[in-house]
Order: sequence, then structure tokens, then C-alpha cells
Amino acid sequence: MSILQTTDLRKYYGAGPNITRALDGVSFCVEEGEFVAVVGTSGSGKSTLLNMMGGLDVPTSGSVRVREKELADMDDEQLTIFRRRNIGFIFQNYNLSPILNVYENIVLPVELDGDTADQKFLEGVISMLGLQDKLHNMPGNLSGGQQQRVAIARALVAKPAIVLADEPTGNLDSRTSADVLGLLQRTSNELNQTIVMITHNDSIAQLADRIIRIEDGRIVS
Amino acid sequence: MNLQNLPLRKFLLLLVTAATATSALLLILFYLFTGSNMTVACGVVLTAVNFAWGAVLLHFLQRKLTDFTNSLCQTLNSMIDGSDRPPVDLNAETSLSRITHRVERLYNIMQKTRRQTAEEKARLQSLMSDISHQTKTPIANLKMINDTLLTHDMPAAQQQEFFRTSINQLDKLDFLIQAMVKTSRLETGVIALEKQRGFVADTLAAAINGILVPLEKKQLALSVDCPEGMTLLHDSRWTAEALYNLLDNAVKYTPEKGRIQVTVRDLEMFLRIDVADSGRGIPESEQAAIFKRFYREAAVHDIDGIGIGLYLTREIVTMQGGFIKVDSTVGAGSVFSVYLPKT
Repeated sequence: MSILQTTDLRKYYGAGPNITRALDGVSFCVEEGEFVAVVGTSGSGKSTLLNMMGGLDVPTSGSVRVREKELADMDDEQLTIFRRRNIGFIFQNYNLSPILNVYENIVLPVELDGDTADQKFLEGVISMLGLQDKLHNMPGNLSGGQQQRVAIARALVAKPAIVLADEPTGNLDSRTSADVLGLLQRTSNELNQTIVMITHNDSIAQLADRIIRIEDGRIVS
Repeated sequence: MNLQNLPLRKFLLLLVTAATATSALLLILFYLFTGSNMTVACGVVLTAVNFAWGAVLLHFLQRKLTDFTNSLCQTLNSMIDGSDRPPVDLNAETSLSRITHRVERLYNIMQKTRRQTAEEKARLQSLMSDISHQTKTPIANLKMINDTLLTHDMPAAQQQEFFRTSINQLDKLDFLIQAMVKTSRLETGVIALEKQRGFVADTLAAAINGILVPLEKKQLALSVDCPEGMTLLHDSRWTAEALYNLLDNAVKYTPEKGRIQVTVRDLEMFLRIDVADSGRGIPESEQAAIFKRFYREAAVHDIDGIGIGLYLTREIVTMQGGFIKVDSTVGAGSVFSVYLPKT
């Protein structure tokens, strides 16, 4: 049983002669616990694909199923709750809340769900990501790599079905990138976390279990 | 009072008694103050109405609770049967949905564990068949050599030749079996890596010791750049094995008078150990495949090896929470980078 499945996914912008096919019939599956890299140059449609998978954008046609639930069948409110419980996001620009400290940022998605974080799991994640000493810092006082580690912790803490990472090392130098990627891979292995990572960098994609290449809105291999 | 141990029925009984008693007391007080029968009658009616609404509320709560328990049981039952999941709205903001969400996760995880066990078994089976396949050739060769030596008369020089071939084959067999034992031990989880804080330089030295002789033979230049006194939480013996495999490859695939460089770098979360050589390099299309068990690049079949070193190395590194990466240009050499976590 695959945890994420897209079938003949299409996204067109514009109409008539000006039509832009951002995605043009993309079908693939992601199995539970897999670490998949989606590789493509800029403009290949990979970010559009990620947005569709996360239910952040609506496809022109085709379907996205996460844990056998069709995203298109949900209304806005259902989608919001579904995302909060099932999908963890990691963005290129971290997207941490500047007015909350590190700990508050990490537990935010769980507390939004009216829940309390699983303390033991949370401690494990925090120590794996080396954030024990930073919990009371504000995001603004952290380096890029550290901020991205906080974002990883935040994405993991709700134990989502799938983590979607959009160019997670896009703003980082090569040393820090290795840190962030290694930790992503480690969480995939040790916490059995399903991860889909979008990147344009082939050497980064090497760490994934499987690589999906995308060009002009289509999967090429 | 311990709320958890108090039965609901008893609690309700207590509550009703207390309510009745206080109402009665209040009514008596009213009567004493006002002396009017009318007030008391109104009081009685009011109390009765309150009791009635209370009963309705109670009934409703009971219904809700029964419903909740029923649907939870239904969910669990269908999971036990393995039949279709019951139609629960997973996204409603209700307690049931929150619980079902978790039960569903648990169910998926259990399914996955079951699948993993099956996969592991299949992997072990393929390992067994790989082993028997790999050992076939040297054993067949040895048999043949022995037969020839037994049944044919031949000059001593030729006999020597046969014995030498036989030694070669035995070496190959020995190497194979040792590698297999290591792999199967790792695969079956017989070996638990024991992480202990130790000097990186010591581990590195242990790995380098293994390649000193062939290094000398091929006149390769080895340089090591490792910050002094650096320690790391790692399994020294197996990490040395992993690094030895990388170094051994570097020696094997680098032409005479080439250069091998080992660099240790301290990152924020990981320690990076680079093994760079000036060897033949690996084409990009092969870079993902070289870590597979028993994979050999077609172009290197004339060089000894069975394709287990890199596989083993990656297993050892991954088991410690690290990862391995290769950067290579054909003709210019390869850099294998091992990243080991510092925590």
C-alpha cells in the first residue's frame, strides 16, 4: 500500500496558445518509509508538483491520494486539518514564526490540533537534531542551518504520514547542507519517516532511496 | 476522593441524593422565612423541572458515550479482521477522529512491520543464494585441479603450477567466505554496533594499517589530514572496517605512483571523512549502483573483487546514523565522503 499516489496529474496555466503546462501527466507512488528525491531544473514543474502533493494547490486534472484519501474531495477546512496531521513541510526559507522561540515553533503544529506533543518522541527528535541547547532561543538568533533543523523538528513532531521538503538546502552552504541532508536521511531511516524532497542538485539527490527526474512537467526516469 | 475508581452509577446516586437533600433543605428554609405554601409549591416544581432536564442531559451524554465506544470498537474490529476501514471522518475536530487517526497510524505501522519481516526474509534468501552462487566457481576449480593432480602423471614443474593455482583459488574462497560472514552478520542483526567515544585518528590508523603493503607495492603516495585529539561516538572496529574498504578500493583502482588523500573535517552535526584517489573514476551512471551488493562495474572485471566492500561500508555507516556519498570524474579520480553523526 503506497502512502502517496499521484495519477495523471496535470496543471495548466493560461489558456489557448499561451497555455503553460507546469505538470503534464505525472503518475508515481511513494511507499511508506521511503526517502524520495524529485530532481529537475528550475521551471521543470517540481515545485508545482510539491504544492499539489501537499494540497496547497489544486490540479487542473488528475488525482493526489495521501494515505488513500483523495485530496480533491476535501473542502478547505478538512484539507487544513488533514495537512496538519498528515503532512510536514520543510521550506527553503525555513518559514519559522519569528515571535515564537524554538520550542514553541516546534510544538506549534501539534498544539494547533488541540493536542500535546509526545514528550519522549519530541526529546528524541530534539536531541537527534542537536537542538537541546537552543530551545529557548528565538529563530532570528540562529544560523540558517540551525533554523532549518528547527523546521525539520517541526515537520516531524506531529508524526506526519509524509514530509515534503522543498529545496531544504537551497539557502545553505555546502557544509551546512550536508548536516541538514544527513539529518533528513537519518530521520528517514531511524524514525521510518516517509520523505519527499524536491531539489535541482544531483549530488544532493544521491542520498535518497529513489530519484524521480522531472522535465517540462513530465517524469523522465 | 479517587475519581478514577469511583463507579459512574455510584457517583450519580450520590449526586442525586445530594441534590435532593439540598433542594429539600432550601425549600424548608424558604418556608420558614416566607411561611407561604405557594413559594414552596413553586420551589418543588422548579426542582422537578431541573431534575427532568438533568435526566435528559444525562441520557444524551450516555448515548454519546455509547456511540463513541461502539464506533471505536467497530474500527478496532475491522482492523483485527483486516477488512475495510470503517467510514470515520478522519478530519473532523472530534475526539473520535483524533483517536482513530492514531489507531490508523498504528495499524499502518503494524502492517509495515509485517511487510518488513517478509522483505527481510526474502533478502536473507537472496543472500544465501548469492553466497552459494559465488562460492561455486572456486570450489569447482579446486575439484578440477585436485582430480587432475590425482589422475594424471606429470612433471614436478607442472605439479607446482597446479598447486599455485590451487592456492589462488583457496585465497579467493577464503576472502569470499570472510566477506560473506561479515555481511550476513550485519544483515541478520547478529552484530549490534557499539558506539563508544574514541579517537578518530586511532580508527583511521587501524584502517590504514591494512593497506600499507599494497600501498608500498604500487608506490602510491598517501597523505592524511586529521585534526589531532578529535573524538567521536562511533564503533571503532566496524568503522575501521568501513574505511579500510574505501582505502582498499582506492589502492586497487589507482594506477602506480598515484595519490590517495584522507581528510577529516568537523561539521556542525557530522564528521566528514574523505577518501580521495587519483584513480580511474566512476561514471555518473554507475555511481548509485556501486553500493549494491555484488555489483561490479563492467569495466573493472579484470581487477580482483566481488563487489561487497562498498555495500558493507554503506551498511556500517548507515547503521551508525551516518551516510556516504561519492563524487567522481572519469579519469580524474573519486572522492568517497563518509559522514558520521557527532551525537
